[in-house]
Amino acid sequence: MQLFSYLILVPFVSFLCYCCLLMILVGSRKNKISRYYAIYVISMIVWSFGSFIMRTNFYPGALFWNRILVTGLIGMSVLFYHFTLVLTETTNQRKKLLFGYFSGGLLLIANYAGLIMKEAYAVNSVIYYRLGPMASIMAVWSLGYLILAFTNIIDKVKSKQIPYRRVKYILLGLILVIIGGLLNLVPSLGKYPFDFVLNTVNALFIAYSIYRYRFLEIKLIVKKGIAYSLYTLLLSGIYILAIITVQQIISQLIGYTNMTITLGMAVILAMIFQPIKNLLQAGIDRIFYKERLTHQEVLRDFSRIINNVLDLEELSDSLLEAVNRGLNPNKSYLLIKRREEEYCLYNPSAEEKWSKEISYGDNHPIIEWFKQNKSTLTINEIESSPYFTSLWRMEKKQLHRLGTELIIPIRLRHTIVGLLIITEKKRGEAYSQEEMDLLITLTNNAAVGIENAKLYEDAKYQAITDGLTKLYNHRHFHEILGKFIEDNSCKVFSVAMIDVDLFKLYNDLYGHSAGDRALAKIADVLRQATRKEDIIARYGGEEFAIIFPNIDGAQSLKAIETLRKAVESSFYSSSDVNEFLTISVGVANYPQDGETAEEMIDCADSAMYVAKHSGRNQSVLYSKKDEKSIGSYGGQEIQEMEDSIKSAYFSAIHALAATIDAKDHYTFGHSENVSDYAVLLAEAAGFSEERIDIVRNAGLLHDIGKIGIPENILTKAEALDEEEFEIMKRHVDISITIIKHVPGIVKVIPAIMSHHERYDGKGYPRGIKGDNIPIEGRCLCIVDSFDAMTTDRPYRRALSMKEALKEIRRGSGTQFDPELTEIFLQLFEEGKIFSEDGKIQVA
Amino acid sequence: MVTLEEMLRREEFDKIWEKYCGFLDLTLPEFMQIQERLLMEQIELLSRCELGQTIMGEKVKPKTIEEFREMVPLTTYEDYADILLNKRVDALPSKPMYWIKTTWKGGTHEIKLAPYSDSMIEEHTKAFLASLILSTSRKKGDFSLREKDKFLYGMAPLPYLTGLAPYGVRNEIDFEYLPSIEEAEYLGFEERNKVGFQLALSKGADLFFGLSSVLVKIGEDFASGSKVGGRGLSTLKTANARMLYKLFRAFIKKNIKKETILPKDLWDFKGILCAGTDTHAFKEKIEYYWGKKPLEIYGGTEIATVATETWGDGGLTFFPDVNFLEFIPEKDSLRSLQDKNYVPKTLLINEIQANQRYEIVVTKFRGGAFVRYRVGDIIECVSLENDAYKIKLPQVRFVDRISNVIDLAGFTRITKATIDKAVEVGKLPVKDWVASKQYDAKEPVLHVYMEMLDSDINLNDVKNILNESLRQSDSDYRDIQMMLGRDPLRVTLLPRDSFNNFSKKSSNMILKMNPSKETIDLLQNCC
Repeated sequence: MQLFSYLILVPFVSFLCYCCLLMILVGSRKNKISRYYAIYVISMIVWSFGSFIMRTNFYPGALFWNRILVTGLIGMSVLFYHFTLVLTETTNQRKKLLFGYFSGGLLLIANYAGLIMKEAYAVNSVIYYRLGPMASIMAVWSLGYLILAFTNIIDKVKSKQIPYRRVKYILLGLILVIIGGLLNLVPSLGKYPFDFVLNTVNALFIAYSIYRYRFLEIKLIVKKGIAYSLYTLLLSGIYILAIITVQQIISQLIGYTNMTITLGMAVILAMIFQPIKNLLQAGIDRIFYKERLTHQEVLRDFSRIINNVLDLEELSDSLLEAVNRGLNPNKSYLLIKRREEEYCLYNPSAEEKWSKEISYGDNHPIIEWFKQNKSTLTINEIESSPYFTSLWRMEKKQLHRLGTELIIPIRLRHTIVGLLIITEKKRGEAYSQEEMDLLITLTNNAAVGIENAKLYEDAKYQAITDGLTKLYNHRHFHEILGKFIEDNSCKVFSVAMIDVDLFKLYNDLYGHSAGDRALAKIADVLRQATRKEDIIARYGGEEFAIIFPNIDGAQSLKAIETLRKAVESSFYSSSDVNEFLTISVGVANYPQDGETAEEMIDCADSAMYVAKHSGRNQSVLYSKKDEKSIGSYGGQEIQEMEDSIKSAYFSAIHALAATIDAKDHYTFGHSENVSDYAVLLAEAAGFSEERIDIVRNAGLLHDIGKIGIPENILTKAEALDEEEFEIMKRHVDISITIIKHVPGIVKVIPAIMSHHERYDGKGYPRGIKGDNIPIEGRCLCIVDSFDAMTTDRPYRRALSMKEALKEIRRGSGTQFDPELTEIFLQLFEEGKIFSEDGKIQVA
Repeated sequence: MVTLEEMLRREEFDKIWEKYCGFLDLTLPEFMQIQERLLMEQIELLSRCELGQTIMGEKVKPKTIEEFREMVPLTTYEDYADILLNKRVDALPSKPMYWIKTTWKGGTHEIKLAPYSDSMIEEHTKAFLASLILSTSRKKGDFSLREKDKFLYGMAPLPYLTGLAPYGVRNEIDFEYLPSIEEAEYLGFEERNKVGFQLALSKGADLFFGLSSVLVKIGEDFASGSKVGGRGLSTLKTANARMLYKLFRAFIKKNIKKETILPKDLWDFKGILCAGTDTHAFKEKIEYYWGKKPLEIYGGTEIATVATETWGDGGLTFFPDVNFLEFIPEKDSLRSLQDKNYVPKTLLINEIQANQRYEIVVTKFRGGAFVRYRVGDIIECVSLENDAYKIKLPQVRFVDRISNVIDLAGFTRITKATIDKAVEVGKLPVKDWVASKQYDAKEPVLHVYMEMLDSDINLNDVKNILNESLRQSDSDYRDIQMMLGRDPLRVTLLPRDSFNNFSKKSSNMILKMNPSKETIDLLQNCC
């Protein structure tokens, strides 16, 4: 007997292959598919074991082992059919399957009854056999079930329940098995183990499919040792076969062989086999380690880039490219932590890099998940884990829209600097452990780079951005404007200069932090009211500048009018009584108004001043005529103009005062007194002319809001209860609401708004104290209280002058400004308040 | 998304458990986190629609749970009636796929409608499947639910909420419904249960979902020998081998051994899911007749599936992702029933105390319509966690409807208006009455205490007239008698001047529905 006959070796190698496969399956995670596949492999083991041992004529003889072989053969076809049913999740072929097992059982009985194989013996490892009457039935039956398995898979592919690429190797293997089975029907070929070779190839194809497409969802890690064992076995088998074959050929040619010739042949064959061995090794490497080699290259290239790049765009681009090269996903996305603890989509190749299509806060469940040191997150985990039930529907939809398969954190120490979102692979395969490792290594390497690039980008951003409004700053505006003109990229464009009206007053009234908030809000309004391509900058304190590319003339006027209206409706026309801000806007067009940056800014500035001088809250398109007219005004003319405006304001004030009179005559008399006292006190305290004017007008109008207070409260004879007093307090707010709509007298607002504030901070409406109360308000507070004390009220008699002054002194430092109180009392002591006829000396 | 069926085929039992029942492993802070995030999603959706602006106020958009509780008022169905009963889809936070209906006893209209969007259906289905899985489980992670299980579905079909589950479930798993969903839609409640059990006799049954009172009734019928074998020979013809064996065994037991046969001799249910107000009262009987303790779920038309029982008698656990949950302490709830101007404060789930009762207030997640909605149900917090099953969430028990509604076995809801109408229909000379829900041999009954104008009237006559009037004016009440064969009415005639004397002795106002036991005692002894 030739022990190394290829007729024995082929089934033996096949047997070993199946054993290895079974070992892998047993060692991996079990599920239904893996179990059925393992059972199928066991049948193949029985078949190959029976075959090779049969050829050795081992006890009890070839016929016995042949029947063992047939047992495996019968089992193989129906078990393979069952495996494909499980694999394709087919449930409607139960009857065929049951019939298969039942008839298979009958065939097994027939086999051991000698109805399939009557006689079998081995001569020189070649099997000679005589078939029984049931043999052909068994062959057809086996073939039938293999064809059923084949058609079942094809049906699923046709109905698109399974993608073809996932089952192509299984189909190919199946065709080989069917061919092997058909060859057995030809006795001249059936004696050679073609079917084994083809079945072994089939088993390897299935193993490869499982490995590649994760049919079993097992972490199938084909160990290097197992792969090389298979390779060594294959190579040794082929080598020995080659020696035997050549030895036989030589023996036939020269009639004999000896040890020297055999050894010589072995050496020559070994030399010939060396390149074959290399080829095979390379093949195995390609199958199992190709990805690893690519991964190494990807990592090397990426490491080289991140060490030399400080630009977020380039770095992100490189990371995504490395991911695409290494893993071949359909798509990959980056979420990078931006300012304010927010993770946003970052697309380095898009014009608008940052997108809020996906935006996660720092305490978002996905971010929190990775903060717990988790290294990956799959879409299935998101769907299944109760932890993610808190995701918004929209958030889940977004992830699905991106085709998310896997999310990997970009972690720098304990901080998550970003997330990498990977979709399914182009070929539909699952990600292997090696690929996961590659992703983790790539993201770990990228983390430092991204953080540095982000810091660099932040620094760049801060250098060109105004911190308060987040608009471009003055310097960057000039750079862009210069570039516009230098590059001539826009044939026409407009430059607008914007100034916030009465902003100083606003600051005085509400404080600087409220002023800052107002500027930030105006910036937001401007941002929303402009186009994406417009460039907005904070030019100075309360000044903004805008470049409108590709518009000029009437269009530019329309653009700034839109801005003016937007600010007006957000502040001036809003329901909030405290908001009275408006903007004056001037716009100039390139190139007709100016050809340099300076000229353009000067022209827009001039137009803006025209708007200011025309009563504010206006939009003006630059014209040379206007500039000339502004420039040609003499001092006297300006004075006349201002006087005429002032006179108009006065009329307005008296009209308003008359309104109070109509409501309550007492209030009117009181207002006039307050106005007169206030002017005397202001003059004595050394107020400027402008401030004296303010206290005069404020005195007249300080109670204008009482128009909105119900008559029954206003004229109530008893003291007001708590609720009524609350209503009464609202007159301050109502005053502001009325006055803010009268151009020119808004300057009285701080005085009116604060005339009920107390020096110790216990007043209303804002409870401000000390010098935070505008001085005009402190002044009004003293004289208002004094007049109230010295006149009859519906609910009490007037105090005497002496008693009233005593009360004023008592309130010094608590209710009233101590310095102004002193001056006021001194005016009385010096007799500077009343004229000889007892009336207040009107200034 | 992978379906339950696919996961079952792949035998991914751990994953199934995590997906559907994983909420049982949440800690209270995790539960609250989910509640808060989903509430913010709901506020976002509400702030963009007319209904939200009507309920919360224009431009009101709370940013925290505290703001939400401060800024948004508590609501009842009246607040939604105009939009929902007119099916104004444009005013809703999300597009409804189904309009679920229920009766509105004591309301301004006959019915209430609740919109269900696709994501609400998805959540409802998930919660229902979780309960179903739990009903077939004996311990954590170990369940026997499988595809093609035979499902005896004894609940009302669409447009009632109980009919919604099969439509959502069929996208997840294929069950064999007895009868089929399509057939069930054309059958009345009683007929559907009959057909279902007939089919179960020949095919067997694995799962049951229905009213606990119906299961008890069927059990009693078996025990009394009034029902076995279904349609006799025809059942045998269509029965499968397993059921043939079971029927044969039952036949031997009944006819040869002369023993009583019970449903558990015929069916071996994997899981029994029960709903209905008085499920807790029927549990022991169901276990005796059916051989398996039912799993109780709590829900309602406006609020979907809210909580589920797990194992044993530990109580029900709330689902974290179906509703935002608030609780009004029972005494505040009662005060608000008496004083319409009183606005009770609510507690959150992490603020409730063990052994205390609360009225439940929910805000529907996932684009639902109801916001801080007073469902009208009272629950009791049994414990703050279940040590035995390692559940770290409060365990609750459904107690009853709020005291102005009497719910009998999940069949009917009797209000003051129902009894007033019955008295009017029966022309009973009643001076005054109070009604209370009581348990007679663990059976829920309606006990009406009446003071008659005419002292000569006989108690039995009054009871018969009132019973007949209730049957006429409330078809659901009639069903209790017809389907369950029960007499749910008890009447006590109070001595003359009981109510007057009560007013003299006590300064408390008498509640017409469910007054306290002390009030009833005092009324009875006031002559």
